[in-house]
Amino acid sequence: MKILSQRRIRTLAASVTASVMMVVASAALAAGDVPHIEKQSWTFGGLFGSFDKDQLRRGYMVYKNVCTSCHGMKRVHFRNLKEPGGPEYSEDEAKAFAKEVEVTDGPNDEGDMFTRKGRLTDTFPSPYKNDKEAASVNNGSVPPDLSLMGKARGATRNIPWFMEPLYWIYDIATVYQEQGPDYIYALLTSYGEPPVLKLSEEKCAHKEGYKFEDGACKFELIEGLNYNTAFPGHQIAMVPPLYDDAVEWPEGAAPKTKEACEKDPDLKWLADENRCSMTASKHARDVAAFLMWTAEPKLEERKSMGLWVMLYVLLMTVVLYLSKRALWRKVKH
Amino acid sequence: MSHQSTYQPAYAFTRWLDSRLPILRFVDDTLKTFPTPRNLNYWWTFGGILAICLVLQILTGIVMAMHYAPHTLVAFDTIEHFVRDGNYGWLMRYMHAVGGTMFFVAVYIHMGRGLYYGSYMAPREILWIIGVLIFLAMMATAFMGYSLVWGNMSLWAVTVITNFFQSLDSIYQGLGTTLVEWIRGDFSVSNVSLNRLYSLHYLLPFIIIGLVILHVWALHVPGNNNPTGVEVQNPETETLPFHPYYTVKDGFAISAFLIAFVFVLFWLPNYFSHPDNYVVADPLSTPAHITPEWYFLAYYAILKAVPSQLGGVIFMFAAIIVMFFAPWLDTSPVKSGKHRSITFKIAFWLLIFSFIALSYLGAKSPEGWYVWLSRVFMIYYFAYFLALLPLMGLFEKTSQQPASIAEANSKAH
Repeated sequence: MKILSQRRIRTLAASVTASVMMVVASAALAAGDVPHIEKQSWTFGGLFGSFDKDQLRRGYMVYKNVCTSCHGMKRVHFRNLKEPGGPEYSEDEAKAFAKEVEVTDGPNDEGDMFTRKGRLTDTFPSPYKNDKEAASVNNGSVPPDLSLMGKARGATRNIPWFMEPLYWIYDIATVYQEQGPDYIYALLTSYGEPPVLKLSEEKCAHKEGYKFEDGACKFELIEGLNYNTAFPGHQIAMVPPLYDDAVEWPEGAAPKTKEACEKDPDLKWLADENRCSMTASKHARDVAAFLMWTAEPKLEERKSMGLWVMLYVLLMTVVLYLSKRALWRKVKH
Repeated sequence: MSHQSTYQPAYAFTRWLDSRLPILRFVDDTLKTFPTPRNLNYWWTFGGILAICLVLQILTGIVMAMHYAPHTLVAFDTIEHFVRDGNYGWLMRYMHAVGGTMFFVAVYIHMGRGLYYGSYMAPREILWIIGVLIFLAMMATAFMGYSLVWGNMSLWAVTVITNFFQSLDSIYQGLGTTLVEWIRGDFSVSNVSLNRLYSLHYLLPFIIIGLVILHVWALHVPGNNNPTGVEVQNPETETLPFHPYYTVKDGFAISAFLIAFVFVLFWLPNYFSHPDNYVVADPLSTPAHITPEWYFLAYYAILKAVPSQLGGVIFMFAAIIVMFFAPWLDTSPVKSGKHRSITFKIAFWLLIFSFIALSYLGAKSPEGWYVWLSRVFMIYYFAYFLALLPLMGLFEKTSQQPASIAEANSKAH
């Protein structure tokens, strides 16, 4: 029997290819320790997506009651709350929200600055006068303005390099533009205890970001920061802001029965209190949707206009194609 | 090709106009009766598509310029204000941004057509050179347009690109620094830089219009190339008047292109841009990965592949400059790839693959096997122009070219 028979060559080639692929794949995986942000399902995703008004309102409640203690939103006006394509509050409701804030205005005729109640034309306030005040209160970190957060973050994925083109095609086919909300949801729900690895002292010394302490290989968390698996670098200055029932249901919006409540996996029926409780995950989803609206207030108008424009362009293409064919059929080419 | 003008003004007014400014005659000669080879395929429609892209960019750009202010303190805000509160501001903004991306999709296909069918060969060398100049102007315009947003990626992209000239310090001490500061107008990229980027971004598209006019003029002297690579011999049997045959065919192609444009515009408007550019420029905060827009990635990969700063800049520019010389590097007596050897066809598609691979690698950090692969593809890219084109023409066995377009047509039917 020949040493290098056809069959042996083929088996050899197959195993070499497989091992090369595995080496390449593992090298790629080892090289990039990026957080893998899961895709969530959003009502505003896809070709025909639109915002869920109730979700936007719940999200605004979360933003207003939790986030405004540290974050501003200077590009959103109170009047946006009543405009179509968003939470669509009534004019009176929007005015009421505006009146809750104090705004510095002036100078008046005497030359003094004064404070007044907010109006529809005012923007959402920032809790701090300027970045320096923000940094001094927050250990040197400046909580970013949230107006564009829905578009200012991407969703990293831990995939081998050869899978990337396939993901691009899949993203384009599913018109994936919800990377921002996916990241925000992941961030808000990925707080946890810094990990402890089962490594020997010697191996721990080689592991970046870990220190061997008290007989265990622990993640080196900087004082004042919080461990978060979704955040690049895993150490974020923001304390976990959400917890179950951090914010109340809007008037009359809560599901009243156990069955209605448990339809949503983010809700929990509390039997002893006989009410439907919103989990931190529910708050995270709602506020992420809200932040997508603040970043893209024209999303609904864009997608609905797109349908008509696409229809028109498809029709025009068909008509032009038939014209071209009719014309060219008559000549030799 | 340039033909005898057959325009006959039909009315008293048009006769009067024609004897003073023959503009209608000009339109008739270039867009109506212009004899165009009958056998052009759809790769030839991208010129018309590019013209539409240019018009779209200029119209949306002028509208946006009415709302934009090029000062670092407000630039980002003026765009957001127009997008949120302006009349269809979001539509103008996304049309301009997506239009830029589609412009480059079309131009790369257009250039690929030229490379495959030998459209750069005699007598179309000047046409090709003007084309490369248009490509350079487009790159400058797009780069500056992206910087005007004054997002964090805008600021750092300008910092990286203007830093190129810093490398000249290694040739003559102080030369690089002086040049960089002169270009920026300041010691670092600042408001001064933004103002001049705006001025030039508004200027260059009109330079592009001028170059496009020269480009079409240079085309109309010899006439279009065609898929056989054999020049027109008998206009009667081998060409058709541009209108209605190619106005309608180009119209259809433009409409099909618009389907893709509309799809991206309305459902994927931010897919080709970077989220970091929705954060206001911050000179104290560098983005985790500074990457340019996708259409620059291949050249960015070449820049990062070379281990020296000056070398990287030189090779990056050389990648574009080398294209100028294609008409003289290619020694083949046969124009069209259709009738060239299988070696040429493989070499060409490998070039396309290399460009795509370099674009993929351009987005990665310059480490490990990303850098080594970039070098491999970069070497192939230069080898195609500097070694393969000269050598293939001398040694390849080509298939029998048809004697004429008419012969090719009758054979096909």
